[in-house]
Amino acid sequence: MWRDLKSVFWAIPKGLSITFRYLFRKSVTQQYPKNKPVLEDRYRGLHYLTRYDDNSERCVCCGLCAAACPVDCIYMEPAETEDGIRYAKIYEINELRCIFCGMCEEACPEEAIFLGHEFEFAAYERDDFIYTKEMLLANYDNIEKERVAKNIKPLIRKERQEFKTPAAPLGH
Amino acid sequence: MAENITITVDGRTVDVPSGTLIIEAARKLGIEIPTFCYDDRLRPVGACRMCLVEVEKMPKLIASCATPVAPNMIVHTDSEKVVKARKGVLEFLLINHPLDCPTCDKGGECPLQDNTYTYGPAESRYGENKIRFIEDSKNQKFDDIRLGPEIFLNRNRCIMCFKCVRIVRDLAGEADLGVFQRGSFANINVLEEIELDDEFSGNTVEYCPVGALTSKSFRYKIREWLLKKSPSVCNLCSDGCNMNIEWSRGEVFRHMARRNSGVDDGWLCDRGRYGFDLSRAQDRLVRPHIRRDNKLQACSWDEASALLSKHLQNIIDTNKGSEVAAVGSPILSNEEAFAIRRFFSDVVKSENVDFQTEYPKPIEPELLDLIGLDGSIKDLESDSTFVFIGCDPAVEHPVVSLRIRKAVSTYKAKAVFISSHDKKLGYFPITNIRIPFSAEAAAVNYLVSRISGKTTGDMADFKIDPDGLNRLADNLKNAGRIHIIAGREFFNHPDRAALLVGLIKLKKSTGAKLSILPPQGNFIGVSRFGLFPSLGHSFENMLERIESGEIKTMFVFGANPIDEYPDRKYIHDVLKNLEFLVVVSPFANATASLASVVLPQAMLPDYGGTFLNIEHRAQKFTPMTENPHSDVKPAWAILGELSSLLDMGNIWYSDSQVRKVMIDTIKEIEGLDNLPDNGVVIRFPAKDGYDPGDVSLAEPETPGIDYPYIMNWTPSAHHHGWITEKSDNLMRISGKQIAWMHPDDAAREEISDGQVLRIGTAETALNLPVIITTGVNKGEILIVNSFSANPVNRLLKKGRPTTFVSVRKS
Repeated sequence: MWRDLKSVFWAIPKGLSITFRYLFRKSVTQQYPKNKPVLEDRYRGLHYLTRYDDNSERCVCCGLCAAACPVDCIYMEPAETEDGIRYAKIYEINELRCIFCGMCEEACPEEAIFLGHEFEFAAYERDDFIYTKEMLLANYDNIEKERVAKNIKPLIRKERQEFKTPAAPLGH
Repeated sequence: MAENITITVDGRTVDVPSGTLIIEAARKLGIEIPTFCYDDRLRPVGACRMCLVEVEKMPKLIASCATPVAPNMIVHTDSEKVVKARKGVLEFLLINHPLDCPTCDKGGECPLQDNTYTYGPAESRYGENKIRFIEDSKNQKFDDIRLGPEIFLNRNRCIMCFKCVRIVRDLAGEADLGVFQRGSFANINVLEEIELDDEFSGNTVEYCPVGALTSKSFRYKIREWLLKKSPSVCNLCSDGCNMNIEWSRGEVFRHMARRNSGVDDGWLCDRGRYGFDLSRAQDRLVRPHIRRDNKLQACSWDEASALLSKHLQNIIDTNKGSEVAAVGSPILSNEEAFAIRRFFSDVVKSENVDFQTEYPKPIEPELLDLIGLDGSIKDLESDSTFVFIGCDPAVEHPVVSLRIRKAVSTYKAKAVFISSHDKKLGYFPITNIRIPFSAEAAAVNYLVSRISGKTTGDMADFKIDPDGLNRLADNLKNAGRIHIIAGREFFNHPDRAALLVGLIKLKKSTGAKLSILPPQGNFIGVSRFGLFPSLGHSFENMLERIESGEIKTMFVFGANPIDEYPDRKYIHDVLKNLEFLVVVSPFANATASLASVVLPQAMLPDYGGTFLNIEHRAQKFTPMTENPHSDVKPAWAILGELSSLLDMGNIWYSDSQVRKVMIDTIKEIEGLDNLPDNGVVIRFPAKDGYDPGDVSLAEPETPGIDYPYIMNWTPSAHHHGWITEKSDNLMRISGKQIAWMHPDDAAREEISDGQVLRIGTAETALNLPVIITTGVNKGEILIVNSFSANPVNRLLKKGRPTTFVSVRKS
């Protein structure tokens, strides 16, 4: 009986001791949205589609990101320019469905898609979360502007890789 | 002959006939040897070196695709030496390969990708620049050259396996593709001003082991792994080639061959391959239409079927079934044909059912047993002499003609064409015996009397030059395994009865096989399963009865009589007399524009069913399971619904159910239930002893002074019948409608090549560009048919398959 009472009354100072201990430590709570969180370099947020330095899209619509995507949130339709270059006529990511696993950037053979640091893209309509190619490229342009302003080294090589060889002798 | 040889592959022994290649012997054991250039249907070349194997007591590795087995051979396909060699070969193949897999259409189904992944080195040691074929010096990004209307070639990706060259050269017998330059600069190309547009060019794309050859219709459309496959059968001609319809999200992207060694052997012609866009063509009917205020307006199925059932109920109540007629067409499936006959004989109580809307005269019932291939398609390879009368296999039966090409090129068979204009089988050696238009019956009779040693009649009446026929008759006397094949022109022949008698006599006197091959899709199926008219109820009789007012209602299923019947004005006027015309059609067409009710019909690949091909092989086709066109229905579904609205009970819910009723009704056919993937040849009990007796030859017609030219028409290889015109792909390949005429005629009329002519009579004419060639007879104009802008049947008069025309510059 006595022992039980002791444990009941002792529990209160024991528990409060933790509270008071943390009272004098440095706070871990972040005051979002007043203070922005510090994100790690490898944080995976909103996607962006990159460009070459001549402003052309890197994406050739090969479909590997869509194939790698575990939740099937990427939809694309390839097409051909008049010059015979393959490009994405439609490229859409449903960001509501996306689980930000980063498999798409892993799969991309052209270094065209990346997950950026943007995470504040709330909207009122579900349709607004379907990011089209133009929106994803605009994301990149913003990021690129910021990078140039901050003078940070680019993540990827920006010039288009070309065959630099002399052409084969032609003519029949 | 071939005796068996025992060899050891990877420690296991196998018995194979002598002459078998090592790669085939290994495949028999289930050991896969990687290869790029080998195809069991083509002659081996040993170009890619991927299939190197080690044979004991041989100093070097050998190419297993080009080495026949020898007694007691011990082969290792997985030894250290072989593995190293494969790695080396792949490293060499990839030296100049651009590795642009993300942009390449073959990615995902590419043997080079697969083999590199399985056998190849992960990295290349090659540090030099790759060789690149730049096609356009201004635009350095585009490396593809256009070989033909459908085919593009990227020579950087090519690994020089020569498969495409062999397909075009050995299989199709065309000299279009070739190899230019040497060494690392060797490349596939066409000669200047030559286009790769033969009937089989699509196969080069399908069998290219890399993405070097691509087709315009599939290029950059979708990735291979997103496609679902529905096994199906082509019905654009009566060969019945097996194919996979590949689709995604309710849209068809391509047709790929599904190998059936008894029928197509894995090849598809371009008509079947690129006709895949038909089901999503612009003119496709997807909703029912009812005529209101003299205009066809879209409506719901409920409205349309209520109107139809009300109309039919009236007819049934007043017992006026004979006022109703139904016209089918060879594009229908067997189930549809059966359901149409069943509905109209049991529910409506009408005997007026037919499907032959494109012939001037109905087919004799006795002919039914003779229609179809004598023997199997595979047997064609072993025939030694082919006599074609009014048949152009390259156009009417492209894939079956591959067997004939093989017999001619490999087994040195002879092919003789008796026709009014020149035909060809690629560049393979054939003989053309030219006779005047519609003189086939006289020519066959001449052959028969010459072979049996009787006195031959005077050929001067028919203006036949007997030299060629004499030589043919002498050859036929000694030849074994003769095959006489009649085709489209037989069905359209003005003197068909006499020609048939001649053909049967020729068959008897030479001991030959006789095949009469209809060119249209499921001709044999629909005629066997219900649509063949009973006596006095053919389409011709129906038209007479419409004129006299006995028939007031007509149902048209999948046919387009206005574009097909050989007298456009007549049929148009007759069909206008109808009180009630119901057109069930996959496309909006000329006939539908006259109709009171138009119903959207299902076509490949909207529904399932079976077709019967020329060797009476019943083959199953399946629908794609996602279909954006939810309102299209096959004929049996429409009629089933109607019969339930008429309180007759619906027994037709699915194609298998119709098939079950069909099997129960037609007892003598066997094998239709449980059809295997490659189909079953159905034996119909033949009524033998058909002897048509003697028929005297019709007098040859002579042209008048005003209209000096006789008009003849032909389909083109990529476009046959009114349906293929709806396909954008096929229209792009087949090009424009043209006419041919003889140089002497052109000189007399002062016409130059390519000029647009007004061909026709005083009342009506066609305006067509003309090509001057010696391939047609003097005094004959040959026109490509089936273009709705200039339909040939506008010139024709009822009951006659041809007409005399005048020609002048327009």
